Amino acid sequence: MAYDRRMSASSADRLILPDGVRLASLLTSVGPNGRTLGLYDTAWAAHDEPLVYTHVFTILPGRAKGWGRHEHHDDRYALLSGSIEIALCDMRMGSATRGARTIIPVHDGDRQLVVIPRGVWHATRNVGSAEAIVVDFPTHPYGHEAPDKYVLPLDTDELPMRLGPEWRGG
Amino acid sequence: MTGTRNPQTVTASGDRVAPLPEGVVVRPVRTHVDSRGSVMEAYDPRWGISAADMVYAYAYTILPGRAKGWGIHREHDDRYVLLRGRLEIVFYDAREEAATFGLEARLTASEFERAVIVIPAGVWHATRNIGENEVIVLNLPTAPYDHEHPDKYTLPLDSDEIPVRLGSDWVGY
Repeated sequence: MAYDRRMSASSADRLILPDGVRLASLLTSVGPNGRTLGLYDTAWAAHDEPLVYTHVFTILPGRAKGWGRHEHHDDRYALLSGSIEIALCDMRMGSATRGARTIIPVHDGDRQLVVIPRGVWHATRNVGSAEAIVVDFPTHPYGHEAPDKYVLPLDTDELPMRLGPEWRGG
Repeated sequence: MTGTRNPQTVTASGDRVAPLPEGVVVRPVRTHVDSRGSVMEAYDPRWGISAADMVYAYAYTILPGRAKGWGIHREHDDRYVLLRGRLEIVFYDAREEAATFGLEARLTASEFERAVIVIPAGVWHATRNIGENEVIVLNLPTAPYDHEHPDKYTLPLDSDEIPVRLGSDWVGY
């Protein structure tokens, strides 16, 4: 059965964020020559680990990336441009919210920083009409020889969360 | 009429010949593209191009045909990574103690050759969108923004106090 967030708005799992997931609003100011878009400030209380590395990923309209999971580092996604949905599924042993699954919409009219804790499965889909740009500030630098990344296909049966056919990868 | 012979501008490997202000670093970054989108390692302290920690991040945009500047910082360095568009950057080195004191330099940033550009404290800089779309630049300054006392000093783009004439194409409001 396809996971449908409209149907699930009344279901409990829609309301439970995996333990450790945090959201923080990002400020945008508009001037006559352009805009200024806040992304990350270590003075915020959003997360207590330092900035050590950053990468920027983009997703084309109608495409998705995932599922992915990290064992040792948290992701900190700052949406810069576009409209995305982030699907989260908590399968961490011992997690107070084990089994929680949700989809968080983020768009550039209300930009958010989204903290995705280590261990939580996540997938990201561009729901807009332009390429989406996300700046990620993971809590560890990338390990090129042995990336801290475990993946499953978007249509996997191994997670208790079914993404609909609109979640298309490459 | 033979015209004016071009001087050398790049080496055979494509590296810029013209000097940049001391401490300005241009470190190329790679963009990996696939059918879903792209990913780019934007900044990694292990590259060793800037000693200061990462503490703050924001992005700025410039509309087509518009410019921002002149600006200078006394305390912190900027670390720019162009994400979208085409940007012209002009520097004027106002550090009397620098070997390149008084140097004017121009640099273009674009999606063709993405790079981290380190701009040290004490170097005036102005930026102009020379493309057709909004420019987006990620900046990882070496100090967080101080809202009460911003470490930013500005002069108008046509200021006489900086001996660089930007020209009438540089329009900002």
